[in-house]
Amino acid sequence: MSTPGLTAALEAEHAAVYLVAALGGRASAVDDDRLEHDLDAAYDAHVETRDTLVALVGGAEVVPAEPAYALPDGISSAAGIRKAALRVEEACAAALLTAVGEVTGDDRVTLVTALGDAAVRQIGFGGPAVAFPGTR
Amino acid sequence: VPPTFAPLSRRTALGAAGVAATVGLSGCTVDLDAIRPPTRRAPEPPANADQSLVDEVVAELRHASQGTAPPFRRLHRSHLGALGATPGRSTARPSQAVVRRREGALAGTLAQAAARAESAELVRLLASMAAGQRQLLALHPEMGA
Repeated sequence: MSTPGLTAALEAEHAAVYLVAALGGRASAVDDDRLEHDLDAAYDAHVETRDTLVALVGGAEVVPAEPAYALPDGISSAAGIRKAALRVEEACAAALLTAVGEVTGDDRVTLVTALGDAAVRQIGFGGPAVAFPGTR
Repeated sequence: VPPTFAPLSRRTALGAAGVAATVGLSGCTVDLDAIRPPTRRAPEPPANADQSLVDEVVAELRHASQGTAPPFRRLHRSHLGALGATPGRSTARPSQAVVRRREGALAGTLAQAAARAESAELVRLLASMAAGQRQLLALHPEMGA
């Protein structure tokens, strides 16, 4: 099943897997254990969500990941890494919010949970609580 | 900007259409002989397939608003507004244990409602509301006991 929202969510999760891994590498250089832990957890979550979306879309309609994604500027400090991670989570939440309206049943439950997880990670990366995560 | 959804106004619009039809008839000459007793009528479909779900969610949000902490009260007010509802009035003062239990359960309630909704707009709105509740609980974990 391929829909525009699912495809966009998969593209966002492909990028998140790459970027969060890269940010984790940078975090190991700034000696922030909490940040490293949060990025490790985020990486695992994004891999899981990506795999879920791959299974949902299925077959030849699965969009592949790009070979590489542009790293954001300003990621030489813990604060900069947190900010970049927050942007990744916001982008994924927005994409998942579109996708939840295009699926039903257990698939929808899974994506609603993934959206909530991304919203909670935003708090961990220093983002504010908002009334409607995923909206911009 | 929350996702757009207006089930309440849609029901109101349908009701208004019925009123308009009735008013329109009042000025006509009606042939009483043509009026037959009603045969068995099929149940009328709900004005909106999601209306009862919206009503349930509104009730849960109003319930959770009773005696809760200001950040949660503000969040519930925003969510009620997105559903076209107001917080309502209540003098109930539940214990803090009850308040925390309600707040902790609400994210799950909203997520389950998102899973049940028919319209994609309402699915997205409820999913976003559930995520918002989870965010606030992450900031105030003491409220989700």
